Amino acid sequence: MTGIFEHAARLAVPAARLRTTCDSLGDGTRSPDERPLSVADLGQARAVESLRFGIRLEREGYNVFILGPPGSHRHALAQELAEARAQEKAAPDDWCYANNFADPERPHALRLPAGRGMQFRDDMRALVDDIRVSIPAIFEEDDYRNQLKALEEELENEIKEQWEEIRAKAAKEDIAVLQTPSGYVLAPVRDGKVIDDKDFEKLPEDRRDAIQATIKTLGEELQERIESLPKLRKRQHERIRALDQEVAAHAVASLLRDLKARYADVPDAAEYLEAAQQNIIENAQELRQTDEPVLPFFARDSSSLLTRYEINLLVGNAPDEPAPVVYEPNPTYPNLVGKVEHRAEMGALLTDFGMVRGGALLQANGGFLILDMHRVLGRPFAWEALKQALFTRQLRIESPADTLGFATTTTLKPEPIPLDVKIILIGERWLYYLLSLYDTEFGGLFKVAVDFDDDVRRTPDNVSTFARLVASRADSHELLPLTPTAVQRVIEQRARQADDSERLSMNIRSLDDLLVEADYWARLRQAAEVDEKDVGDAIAAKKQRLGRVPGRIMDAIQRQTLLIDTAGSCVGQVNGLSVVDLGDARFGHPVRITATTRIGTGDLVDIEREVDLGGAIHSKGVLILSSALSARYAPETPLSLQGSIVFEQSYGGVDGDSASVAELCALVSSIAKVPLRQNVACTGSINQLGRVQAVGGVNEKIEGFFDICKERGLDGSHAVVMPRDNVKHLMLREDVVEAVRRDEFRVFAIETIDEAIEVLTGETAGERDADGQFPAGSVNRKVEDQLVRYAQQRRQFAEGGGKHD
Amino acid sequence: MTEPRKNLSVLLAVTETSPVEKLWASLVERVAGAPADVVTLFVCDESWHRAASLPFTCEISRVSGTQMAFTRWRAEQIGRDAAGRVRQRLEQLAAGTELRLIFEFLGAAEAGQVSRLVQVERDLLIAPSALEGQPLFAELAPRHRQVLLVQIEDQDTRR
Repeated sequence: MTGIFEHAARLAVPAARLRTTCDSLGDGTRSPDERPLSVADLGQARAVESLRFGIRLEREGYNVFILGPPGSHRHALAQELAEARAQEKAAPDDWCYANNFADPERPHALRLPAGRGMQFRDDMRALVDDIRVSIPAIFEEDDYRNQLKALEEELENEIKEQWEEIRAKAAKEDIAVLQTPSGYVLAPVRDGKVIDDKDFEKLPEDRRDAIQATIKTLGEELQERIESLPKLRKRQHERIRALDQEVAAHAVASLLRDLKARYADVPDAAEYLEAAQQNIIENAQELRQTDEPVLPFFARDSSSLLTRYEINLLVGNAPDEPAPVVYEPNPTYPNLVGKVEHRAEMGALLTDFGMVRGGALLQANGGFLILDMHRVLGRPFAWEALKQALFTRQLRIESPADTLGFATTTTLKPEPIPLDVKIILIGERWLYYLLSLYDTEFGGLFKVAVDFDDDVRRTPDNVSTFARLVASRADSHELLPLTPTAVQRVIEQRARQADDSERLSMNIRSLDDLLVEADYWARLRQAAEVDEKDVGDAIAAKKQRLGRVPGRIMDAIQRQTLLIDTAGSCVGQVNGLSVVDLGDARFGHPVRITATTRIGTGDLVDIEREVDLGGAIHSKGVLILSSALSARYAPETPLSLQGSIVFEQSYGGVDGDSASVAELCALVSSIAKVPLRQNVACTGSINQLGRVQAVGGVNEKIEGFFDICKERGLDGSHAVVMPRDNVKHLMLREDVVEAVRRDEFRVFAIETIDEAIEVLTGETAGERDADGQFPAGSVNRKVEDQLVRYAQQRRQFAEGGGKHD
Repeated sequence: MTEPRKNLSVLLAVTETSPVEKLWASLVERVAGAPADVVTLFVCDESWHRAASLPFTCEISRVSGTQMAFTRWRAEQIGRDAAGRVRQRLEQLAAGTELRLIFEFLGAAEAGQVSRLVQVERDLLIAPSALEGQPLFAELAPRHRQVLLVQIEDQDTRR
């Protein structure tokens, strides 16, 4: 290496280390008859084993929480393993709700063997159809009519006899029974004519008294007879009812005989049929009504009454099917637990057992239910309802309003259904950790954590498997096949996605996106295969689509709105590197960091922190570098320095400690009055001992600075200083690697702050000799000397009341 | 010069127990579509009034059996209610015909009313046969050119 970086040649990262290319796929070619690969086959051994454990262990509380980043194929794997386990389990029982004849507000839950629920429902419908015809028919038969007529005549005669009896008795006493529209009046008669008051007065007194007494007696008797009429009618009604029941019992018994035999082995069904038979008999009178309702919406005819004998099948399973695996994408309370619907009738909301609806918990009963945790938490009452169901191992279908005691209309309390379901929650890690911390019930209910890795090691075996996974994904999405070089390019992109040349991202969603988009470009050029260029085009096109914000920043730098120098030197000023993460758009760009120093009391002001623009990690980094500065340059003298550091033209928040090397270099430059190269950008954090440590986003940072320099013209003077520990993370763009290969751009990997100083200043940093002294003229010596001067001046100032600047 | 044709004048006597439809059918048959002025005389059942004049008579409710004093006011009310029902029914029957109805109510103590009615000579008197022996009929019958007594069977009697 020649030129301005000759002294730092040992720190330069060779082009080959800037991007670890994929040159071989091993035996990664997928044969056409090979089964489709999934993430279970690659690198997620711990997660897969945990998930298998959670799915197979059927004990209380051993529900599963899959934690991991979106796109890591958690849903597919959960579904795949749950379905595999479900195949080994028998189809669970069917569940129905049926009318509770004793208490219609508490419908009975009936359990039937798989497949027989639907059959039972159909059988009961058929029975209802039979009843609709048979019951009215038996009341039309001559035998019944004759018996009914006899009963009616008996009552009529009884009333008539009573009436005639009292009328005759009155007539015998010369008393007339006059009928008014609403009753009877007893009055004396003579010669067939009612006596008026004048004629009555003419009667002898004893006769008058006798008439009054007779009328009083007859009136009381009449009153008694009238009062006994309802009892007679009631007795008559009971006799007719008994007759009806006797007739109906015979008919219903023959209707139900076969059904009862068919379901004799199903206790719930047998018990229900017994109760239904009794109820049909008891309500035979109502059921014989076949007239149309008076008002169409007021259906109280026998048809509506007969629905009470139907069955509401909530879950019907096929007997030869496996246990259910249900994914509920919208776990609202009703979708999860179920609901009780209502119908409006005459201005009121009514409901019955037939309007009970099951939710996902019931659908998955006996199997597996997969839910997205953030959706469960986002739906009111859903999380509490889920926990309650798991705790009680029962499903109570009731409205949330009812649960909270807010229900104001008729509602039901259906019998709870025993619940045996394995819940698989899928969520991000922070949700799992927060729930573990704050929800005391969570740990007891979700004992199996399945932690998905974000990435896997880039070993030859994993590369080979990944290549087959890529082919499998392309196949399952019906995409064009990929050439081996295209697969290699995809694998390199997965390493870049993982931010690590030694690992491969397991974000399957973004892998699928890349494959689909590469397929698009291949089809656009009417190719039969996706090649390396198509993959490159897909990556570039995506960058282009998301390039508005980085483009604006680049534009602002080129137009000198954002001041970034890429040439010359300056005291107390350095190019730091920042990464912006906007979801899919992640990019780096240089930021100017400046430092000023003067005599003071050892305070180092982080301006970002002072104005609340600095995050906690950034503040920590500044405090560490302050400590590193003191320990390094003023171990035996008070640090009599007042310094301040700022990210120039930064108007948003700043966080992270990746600028601490650059900040320390700016401080050193300011103290020693040694200019820093503006054609070099710097990233890295340091510890208190001056050791440079790895940072994140190193690829984006280097590329961000590279792009600026490239725009202004690469001349071999531009470079980035980065931590040596980050070299393994390098997966730089081809054009950056090519520029390095041509000595137009450089990347230096450092371990110590001294190495950073040397690259940035072009001078020797200097190490302490045996006497503990830095070499004369070295940067470190200049810093130390200046700090000693500050300390002396400060002492003088304190002793003599002198001035300092 | 032709004299304008005069409407037939008819007196239709009804009681609370009279089958109105049957009396009306007899009237329509006799009038035979000719325009007629029909004075309907509702003759109140005097038995109610006689009974009500006695201080000890009670009305026993058909529904509940409870007893309430049977007063003149109550007898009058029953009469008027019955007359109202008869009137309503007759008006329904007369709707759309050439017959013009005038309604008169003859209470128990309204003999003056009868004398007013008999001042006018009419073409026709229609009455239920039950009225035949009564003094009222004796007063009314001579003032009519024709008298039609409608035979009322037991099953016709409506209470």
